[in-house]
Amino acid sequence: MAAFALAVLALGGLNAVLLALLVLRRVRLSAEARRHVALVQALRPAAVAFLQGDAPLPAGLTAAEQEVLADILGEYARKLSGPARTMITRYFEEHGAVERELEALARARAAWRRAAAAHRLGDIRSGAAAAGLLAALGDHAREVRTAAARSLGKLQEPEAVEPLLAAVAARSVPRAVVGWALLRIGPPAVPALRRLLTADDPARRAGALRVLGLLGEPADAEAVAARLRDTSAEVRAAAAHALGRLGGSQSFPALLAALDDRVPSVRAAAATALGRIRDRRALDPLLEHARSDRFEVAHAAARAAAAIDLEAARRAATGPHLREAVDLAALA
Amino acid sequence: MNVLTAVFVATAAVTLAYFVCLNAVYGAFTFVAARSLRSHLRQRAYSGLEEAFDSPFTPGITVILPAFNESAGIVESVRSLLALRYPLFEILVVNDGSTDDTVERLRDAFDLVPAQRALRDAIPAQRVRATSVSRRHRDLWLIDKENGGKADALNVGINAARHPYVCAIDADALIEPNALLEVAAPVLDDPERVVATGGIVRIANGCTIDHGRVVDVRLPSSRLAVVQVIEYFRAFLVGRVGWTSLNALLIISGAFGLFRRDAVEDVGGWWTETVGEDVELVVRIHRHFRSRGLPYRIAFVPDPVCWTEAPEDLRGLSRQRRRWHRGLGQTLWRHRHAIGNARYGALGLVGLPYFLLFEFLGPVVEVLGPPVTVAAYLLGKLSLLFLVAFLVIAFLLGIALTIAALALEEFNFRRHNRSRDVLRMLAYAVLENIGYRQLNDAWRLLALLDLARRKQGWGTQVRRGIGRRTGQEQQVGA
Repeated sequence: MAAFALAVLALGGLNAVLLALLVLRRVRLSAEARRHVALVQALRPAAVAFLQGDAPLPAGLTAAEQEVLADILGEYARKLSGPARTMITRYFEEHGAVERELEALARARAAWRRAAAAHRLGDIRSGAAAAGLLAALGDHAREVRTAAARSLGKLQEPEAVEPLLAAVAARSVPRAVVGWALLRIGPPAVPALRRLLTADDPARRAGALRVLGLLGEPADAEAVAARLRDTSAEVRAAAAHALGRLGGSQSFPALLAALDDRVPSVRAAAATALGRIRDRRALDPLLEHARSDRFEVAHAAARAAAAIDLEAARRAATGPHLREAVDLAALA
Repeated sequence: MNVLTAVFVATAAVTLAYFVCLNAVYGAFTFVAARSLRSHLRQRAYSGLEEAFDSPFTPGITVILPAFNESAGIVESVRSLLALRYPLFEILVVNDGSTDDTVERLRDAFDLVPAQRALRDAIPAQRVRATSVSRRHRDLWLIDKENGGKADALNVGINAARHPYVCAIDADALIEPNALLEVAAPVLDDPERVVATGGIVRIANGCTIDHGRVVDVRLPSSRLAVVQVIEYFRAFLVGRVGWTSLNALLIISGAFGLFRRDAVEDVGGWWTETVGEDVELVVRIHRHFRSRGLPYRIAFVPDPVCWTEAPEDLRGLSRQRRRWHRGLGQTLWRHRHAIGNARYGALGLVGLPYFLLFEFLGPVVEVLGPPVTVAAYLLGKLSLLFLVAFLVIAFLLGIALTIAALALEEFNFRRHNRSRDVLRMLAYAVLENIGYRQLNDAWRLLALLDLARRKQGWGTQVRRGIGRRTGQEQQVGA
């Protein structure tokens, strides 16, 4: 009897506690949200005036107000460029925010706090943060590494190119984020990317090729075309894609040869690239692959053939891939 | 002890053991979910999703929308898909031989014109009659095929897909703009291992919908729909988070799931001989990877939201629940050799046995257990104290687990802004134990009879169309 009463009491108590927690938490969060909205509304005009150069930021703010102001400036930092952006960086540097965040990035025990610090350092965009962020690419928590990669892109730090590609090769940071970061770094990343075309690790070579295709110049085509003879199929496919973007007639023979590569993904990439270059000499081989190769290759070859000469592709449209390519090209 | 007494006592003992184990699992999953959701939300801001949205290295996704007589809501569903924030995706609406004007509505709304679409022969499927593409949205295709069921339509979508990932979405569902990016997050993070992910399904009844988007989240006025809102919290925020932590997630909702295309092709696509094709595919993928010793992960992601319309009448709900239960039974039967099989790790030793004992056979215990226990008391085989203790504790524990699920929603997502809605949900957390749960168990018990009678098919589904009126706000089922 006593055990039963105890169990009922315990469960009743548990329900009451859960209920109370739920209600109290809701009340607290609602109050916090209201306070936050009020602070944002009060401080935003001051932040805007500061960024427009009309007035200095208010002094004597409480800790909560300073935090909200930093959030507002961080929000603008993500959207602005030019002098206003520089003003935000200077504000954070003068107020010791960079040191504070670097300290948190290096020492905070909770991974999410380190990730938050890495993220904010990207918004602040102080060059002083680069070394700390590069070190954070080796953090044991994935979210910290991802935030660091994103922030190195924001900082447009050319020194980050090799570590970022190494991180992708090691699968320690999402490829999409590293790709974004490298594109943010832009042309200053190109020398390092060129160097990495001969890296030992095929994953690094492939990564460098993918980005070089987007950032490089036609003059890079020769070095990229050389990678069509790479031992790694991933590298050959990346080289073919890159050549499609870089263009240049000197890479045509190598791409045409890649159309007969033993690996289908390389053939498909070569077909896509030939379609971009639009050299008529590729038409017949592309039509042949569109009719008889494996699905992905035939599909890419058909699209490429239709891009080079729609009428010729229409006349030759005997298979589903060519008919699809012709129908779609006709809609364009 | 005579035979009758032995039966009564054994049934009471089984009922007690069932009750203890089920609540222990749910209690443990609630703790796991509380930790896991908190950590997930903290990491979410730094997962690089916004950067992935702007990256040319984000993999493409083919969204497959199987449609059978979806005239009421198909246009709004497609509109909500066209508004998805994802850098590279195409939409394939696969018309599964509809007998209504689904095709005409799509053609008129999106300016579809005939165009050839090359199809792989990776998975056998019914014949495709015609394909067309939208002149306004070149990545929107309609594939019109002979009727073969939802699974067959999904298989045709796989054969027509151009991207390495496919996202299966119900034609009556509304997907939030960021949902595709969010459901792909584990894939972006770990593309080598993650083969499937699913998002949370929420109930749109009562919500305000504008141009295919849920703009105001409210509880429905229908009591039956409110109870389902709570049920979905329990199923998704507790159950699926818990099973994900064991890498033994068996269900990725058919309403919204992302799969690596080659994984689906390798296992032979969706099985067309079941009404539970979503569960069955996930189990088959698990077995495929585990039996080959390949590293893989199937994950539930709590952020991406798919809104769906819940049945508001007993008939519709009964049909849905019986169908779900039949689907589970067919899946368990097809994979019976994996149940309890150590070769399949947590799936074989924990996931499948749990679903067999507590989900599939659970209704037998839940429907028969209490009356037999009462009968055992009446025959003097059980003490009154035991009987009362059992019923009161079961009742209080049921409420506690439901309130905990509501707390998980409230602490982490807070999609219901009105305090009145939260109070209503709390009230229903108590009330669902009186009548609703028993009714649900009865329907699931009937599904066992359906299976014994080899009943097939989905039955008629009445679609009201959760966002069918455009250009104006609409409250669903309110």
